[in-house]
Amino acid sequence: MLKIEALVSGYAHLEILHSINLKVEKGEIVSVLGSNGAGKSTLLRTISGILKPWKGTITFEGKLLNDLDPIQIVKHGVVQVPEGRHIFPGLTVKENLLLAGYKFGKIELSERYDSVYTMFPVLKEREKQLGGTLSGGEQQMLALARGLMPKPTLLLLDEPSLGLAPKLVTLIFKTLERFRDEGLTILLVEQNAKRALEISNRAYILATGYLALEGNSSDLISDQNVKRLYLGR
Amino acid sequence: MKKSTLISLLLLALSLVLPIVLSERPSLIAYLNLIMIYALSAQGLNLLLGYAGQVSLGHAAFMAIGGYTSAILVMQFGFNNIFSIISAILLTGFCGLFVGFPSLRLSGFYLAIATMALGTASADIIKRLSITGGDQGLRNIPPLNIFSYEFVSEIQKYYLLLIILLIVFILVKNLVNSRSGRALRAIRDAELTAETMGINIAYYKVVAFVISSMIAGLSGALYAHTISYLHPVNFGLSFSIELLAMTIVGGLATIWGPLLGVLFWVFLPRIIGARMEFLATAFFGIMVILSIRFFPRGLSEIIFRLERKLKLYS
Amino acid sequence: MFDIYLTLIARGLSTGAIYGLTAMGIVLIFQTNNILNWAQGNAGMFITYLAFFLLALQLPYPLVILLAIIAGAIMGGLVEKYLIRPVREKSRIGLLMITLGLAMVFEGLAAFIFRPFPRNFEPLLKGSIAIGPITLGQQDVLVIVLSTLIFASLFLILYRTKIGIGARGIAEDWYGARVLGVPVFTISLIIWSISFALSGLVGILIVPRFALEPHFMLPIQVKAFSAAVLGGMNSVLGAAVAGLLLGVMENIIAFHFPYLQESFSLVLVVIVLLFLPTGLFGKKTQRRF
Repeated sequence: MLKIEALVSGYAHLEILHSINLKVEKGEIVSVLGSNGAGKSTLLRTISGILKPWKGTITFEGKLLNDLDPIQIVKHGVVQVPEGRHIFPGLTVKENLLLAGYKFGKIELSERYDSVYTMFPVLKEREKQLGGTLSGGEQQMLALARGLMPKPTLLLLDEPSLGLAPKLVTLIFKTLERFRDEGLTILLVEQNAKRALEISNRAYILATGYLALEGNSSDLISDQNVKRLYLGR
Repeated sequence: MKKSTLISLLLLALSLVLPIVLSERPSLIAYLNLIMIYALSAQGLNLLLGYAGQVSLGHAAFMAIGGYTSAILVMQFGFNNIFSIISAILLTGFCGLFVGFPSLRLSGFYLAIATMALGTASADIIKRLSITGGDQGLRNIPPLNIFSYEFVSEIQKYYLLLIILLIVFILVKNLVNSRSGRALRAIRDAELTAETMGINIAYYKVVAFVISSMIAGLSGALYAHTISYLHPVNFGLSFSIELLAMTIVGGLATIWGPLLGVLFWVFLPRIIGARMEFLATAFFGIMVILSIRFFPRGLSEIIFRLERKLKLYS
Repeated sequence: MFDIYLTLIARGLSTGAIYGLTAMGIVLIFQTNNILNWAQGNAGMFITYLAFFLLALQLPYPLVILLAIIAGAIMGGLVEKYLIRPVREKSRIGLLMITLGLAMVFEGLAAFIFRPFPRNFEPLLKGSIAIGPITLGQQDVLVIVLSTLIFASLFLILYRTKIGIGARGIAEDWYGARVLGVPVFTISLIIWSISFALSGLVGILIVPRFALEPHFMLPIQVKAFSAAVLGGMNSVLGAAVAGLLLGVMENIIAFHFPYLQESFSLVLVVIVLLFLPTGLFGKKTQRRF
């Protein structure tokens, strides 16, 4: 579904990713693990079109994404939930969702609201509340809901567990599994390697811009090296 | 001997003989004097904008404050010229503190707004006061008199201004290469990082701004005694903007940029002729935009690039 | 005596409406692009010159106003697309200087093309009307009515349309909006268009009070910046109210102390800086616009 070949990318004159190969098949959760500064966010930003790839190709369902801007990439069904959520604090919950569903007309939009509210009933209750007044957990729900608004086929998640209490992390990861069960494909970037490996089908491990390891999550979780380096035991 | 020192010495020699060559044309020397005065102000702005990354829209007002202070102290109170100029510098510095202190502890754009307000208000206040000559302007300001030596002719003024200009430029150069200068550049490039490095951002910004306004005050005082006439209209908001434009076009964060920008500003209208004079403003505006987009070091960068090209071919 | 004050206030409201409209344009651009647009005033000046020559061609006044608004919108769009957009992610101070350069371009071109001497510009409405004890120029009434309408429609745009909500989103989080697929550049372009169109309208409405010359918008821009700061720099509502307040206060002060009229805005700005850094309607609120 998503195929990344020999991707090189970075900021201004700073090369962060050095030749990355990665693919995501339909219906999978694939996680990308690695420590801070390994290039995980850079990878997602490049896929989303915020950063332009320097070399290599990003293809999604056979279409080349390299030269598209973020708006077109969202229209193709590749949607990112950015790190740190980026909720608009002064916009209501509904306005937050509206901006995520920017590409839709009126009728389709109200359909999308309904669908997202069924998934997250709490947001329906908070509809008119400002984003900044939500609790951390609710904000993460809103961020995920915004990710669903444009009807994505591939959801890119950047550290969805960041800054959340363990209980909420469990809730978020359960939600992700629910997403997959409903047919969504997910590329998950996480520092919380153990949790990510538990729910994902396959995983890639990034180290300073290179792919260090890849494999089935169930294999990686018992791999001694991975355990020592990334699972903290 | 290093090539850059050689060029500096050549330029110095040129600036020393220039008035002798031009001695038949005092009006041209007067132009050069004006250029040096403006270049002082522009250097002050360069310190602020180029090295500290702050914008002042009121440097013309600082010049006016310096000029009127020195002129009034000499004419009305019979002050010695040295004291009058020092007072002018100190008063301008105090005004800079008055505007800079409250605005620089707030976020980026407040200094621009505060200096803009000062720029408008000071011209207005000068116009209303009687001690400043009001709307008539202040005429017949005596020439500089230092230890009873009067700088009357354009050539005399020229050498005095040249010395002051060199001193100020060298001081600024030492300042920006000092520890404080590095702190300033760190703030300009990445405020957050500078803060985590333990640099007291507000302190350095205020100091840079006060020094910058003091240089403008000095420049204004020299203007008063060189041109011997002051009028508030010449120090309005438009001139502040033009000073900024000269600084940017000459080359931000380069020591000789301000002088280059001012040279260009004064001579461009003369080169393209009186009928096209107004186009000079538009042309300068375009130069500002082009500088920001393509030549962050302005004319200095263009010269530098040309020089490099020439080297490649030779 | 009291009647005089009523008239002063009414006239002040009309001046204040002008400040408010200009300040709204400044705040819109500041919020979405994080820059002070120094070209706001001179863009209006340039458009007013265009209007002057359209009027000289005997075109009907209302049509000229409409054309000027359209011209402003086009100019704003071009400026955003070709001058601001390429630099916007590089440096904020660079953006301010680009608008400074632009203001000089407008000034120089106006002086060169149209000659710099002052010209008389007729108002749309010449008479005056008496409302109770207040005597007010018809043009002043027009200004107040028009700016109320414009303010209401701006508010509707910002809170009821996708573009407006997008603009508010951009103002809070440019990156967040961009990741979501909000057309940030298109919205930014629309904001510049609205601001420049506003500036053109302001120029035509206010120029009959002065004379048409390349600097006539500068004092208005200074007042508008003061109003924007007084309003907290982050709300269109704040800018409008602060503009009105500034106009009224200035008019009353100028009546008693004529020599303070221009300096008043400095005093105000310094007070704001010292005591109300977030403006009159302060509180570090989340809500913008």
